[in-house]
Amino acid sequence: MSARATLRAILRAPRRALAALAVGLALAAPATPLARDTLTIGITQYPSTLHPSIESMAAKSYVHGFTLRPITVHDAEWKVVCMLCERLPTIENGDAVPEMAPNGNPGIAVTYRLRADSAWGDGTPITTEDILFAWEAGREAATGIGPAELYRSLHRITVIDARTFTLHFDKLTFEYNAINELRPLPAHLERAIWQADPRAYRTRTLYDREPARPGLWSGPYRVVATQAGASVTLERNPAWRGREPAFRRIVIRTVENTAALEANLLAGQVDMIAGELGLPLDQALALERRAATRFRFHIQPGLVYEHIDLNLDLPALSDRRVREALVRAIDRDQIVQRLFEGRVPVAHSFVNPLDRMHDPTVPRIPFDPEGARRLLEEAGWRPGPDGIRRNATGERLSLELMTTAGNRSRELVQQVLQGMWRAVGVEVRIRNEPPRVFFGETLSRRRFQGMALFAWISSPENVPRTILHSTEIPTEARNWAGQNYTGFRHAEMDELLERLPITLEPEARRPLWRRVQEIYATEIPVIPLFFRADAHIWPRWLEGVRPTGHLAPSSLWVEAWRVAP
Amino acid sequence: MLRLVGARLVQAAVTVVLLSFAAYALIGLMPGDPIDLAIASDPRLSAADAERLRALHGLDRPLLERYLAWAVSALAGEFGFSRLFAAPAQEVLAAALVNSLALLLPTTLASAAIGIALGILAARRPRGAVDAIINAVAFAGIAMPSFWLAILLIILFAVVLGWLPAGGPPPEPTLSAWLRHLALPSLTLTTLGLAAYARQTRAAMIEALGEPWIRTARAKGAPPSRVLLRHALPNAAIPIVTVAALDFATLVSGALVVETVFAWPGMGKLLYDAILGNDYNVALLALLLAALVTLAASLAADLIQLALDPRLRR
Repeated sequence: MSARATLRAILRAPRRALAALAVGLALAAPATPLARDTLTIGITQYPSTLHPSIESMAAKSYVHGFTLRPITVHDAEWKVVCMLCERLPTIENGDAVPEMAPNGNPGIAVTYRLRADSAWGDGTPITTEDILFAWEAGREAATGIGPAELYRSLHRITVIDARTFTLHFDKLTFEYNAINELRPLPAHLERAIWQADPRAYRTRTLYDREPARPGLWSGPYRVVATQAGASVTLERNPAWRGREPAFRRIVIRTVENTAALEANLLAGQVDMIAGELGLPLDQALALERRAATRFRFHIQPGLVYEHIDLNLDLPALSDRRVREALVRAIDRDQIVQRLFEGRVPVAHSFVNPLDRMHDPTVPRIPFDPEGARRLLEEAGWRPGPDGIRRNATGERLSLELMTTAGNRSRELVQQVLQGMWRAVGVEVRIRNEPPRVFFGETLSRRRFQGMALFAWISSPENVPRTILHSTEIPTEARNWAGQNYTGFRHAEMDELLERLPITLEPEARRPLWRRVQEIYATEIPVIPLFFRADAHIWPRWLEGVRPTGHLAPSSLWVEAWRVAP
Repeated sequence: MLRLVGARLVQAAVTVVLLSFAAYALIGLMPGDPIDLAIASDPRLSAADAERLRALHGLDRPLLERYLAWAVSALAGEFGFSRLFAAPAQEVLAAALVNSLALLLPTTLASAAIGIALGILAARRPRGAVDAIINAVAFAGIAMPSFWLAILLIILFAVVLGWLPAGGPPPEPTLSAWLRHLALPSLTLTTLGLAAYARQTRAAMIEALGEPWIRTARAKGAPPSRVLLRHALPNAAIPIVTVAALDFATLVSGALVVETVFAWPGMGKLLYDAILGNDYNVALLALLLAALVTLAASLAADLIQLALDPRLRR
């Protein structure tokens, strides 16, 4: 067991017994609640930077939800909406116009108009200058922005006036108006720092050096203090012209250990636990059984897709019949019921049932151990004296199942799966690694010998090109980029993945999506398990929090949060 | 004495150089660099992005070259930037060091004082009732995992009684806030730390109290307290000093488990996160500081032992 896994195991061990005692006693003597003009939120991660464009991490997104307004965002209905712009540009309303890009490909010009009342916290209006600066900084390699595709594809910006600008993209996709990642940067504060030395910008940005500068923030709240690794304190942004948020102050506290976070909640030191970065579902469900009178529990299914990648280069797994048998042998409904009280949806494909492109008519492989045995027989795997199947050459049907060490839910799932597969004559050897080794080496270099259990985080209607396209198989020549860890190669899938992004009409995309899901379900490069759910825990006096289930955090709509009358 | 100090300083310098290289190499050779991890968590990162970011962070250069560049900068007092905390490494370290010292210095002093006192009490009447109780407390302290005691204290004092905060640094920098927030982690560490002192002191004192010169002192009519404190304790102090030196060396390396449970941003948590997060600059600085303090504490223990026991000077 790794050091991290050992530490986690140590820290989690006493959780259940002690939590039961704690809750019982706590209900008898609840701690005094804090004043209602302050809301203290517990999360399990601290943002390593507060810069909007450098690095992406959930804790930063959560803080930014309160403090920065993106131009567009996916809302709780999973639709793209304007936040900082006046209206969403579309081809239909004339704000988006297809054009030929300089590289000869079909491109598009999309015109946005910023809201008249949008301003930075020091009162400076947000203008096209801030958009231009964000784009210029993002395009400069030395700035160190992570994914640069947006800045590459956005080859030109035409400034129309201080609030209106046109973005020229060198490709035309159905997501042409979703610019969730293009975050305006306050040029009046940051441009000079960036221009002085773009390479040193990430170490000199005011977002990390002086985060309490009001002019850095554009949301209903602004950062007023940070304690590295411990907390971020926000207060109402006086320059905010939208609906006034309910709380004068919000404190976001980081408590990485979830048992301690639970104790903090029960002790009244945090008012709520954000589901985006909160308790694991099993812990939250256990707490719900004991403390439902004090807190409201909202389980929000989301886009985190737990699944098993199969290494299709292995002879046994290259046989589709073996792959189907592996799926037929496992009872996913029972796993979800037993481990998560049925509160997470079983996955039959990578497309979430909440996604508008999910197709419920795609064939599903049921739990059918007899069928699994029959398929394995057909594939030439016959039971040996120890119950484990062997092929004609005497090779045992023995596969390795890997996951991230220390992730208790996954380790439990592994053990259940091992038993189910054993029942049909498949031996599964569990070998887990610390996340940094598992993700950093084993998966990314395709070194897993059999099956790898992990999760993907995606966005609504996310085309899985990097996961399923044959050109996205990680190799040394590609600098190990790409996430097609299974090594899946399917000409029709490749073609569909290329056509999907450039098919603008949703109804025209629907049959393509159906076919993608069909191929996925019948070729079985991956064993779908379930979609994870976030456990949001709120005090009974808090209303209006609306989790989205995707990467846009609930904090983006903090103006709607209210103290119950 | 001077020769000993000089030799130990040379030894310390060599150790620090070797340790810095070993630490740099070990972190560098760990599987998966930060860009690998970023690729795994962000499907939008392309091969070109990975190449660009590796070059930007210098991760495309050989390990030895990177180490030498770091060493040259470090000698000039420039310890680099923390990639996990977006601040200069020494600033990150200084904040964590203040937190760790605030937690561990009083804790270590309290552990030593209470543990030594309990050890002396237990040694007065070996196998008596007081000795049995102190032994039980000491055994419990040694056997009890720190996370277990920490959670128990949180439940009792924060959740049930609501007297003390469950963890985290104080929200405002007032003395009372600091004391309230330090109370539970300090109590945890003191309870666990005093056990070693009590056991060590008890054993050393029992041995010292069996010596002929103690009988002589008693025969000459010295009161029991004088026999214990003036005659036995100085002779029993050598192993206690060794324990204390090791304990003080941990002041700057933090208390990982307790810091994690109490969300206390100290050195233990910082070092752990820095190593796992490939934050070379912070990890190296923290390791070097820990090594230097350990070496200094060890030297101090040697010097104290020399002062306590004239036989060692020969």
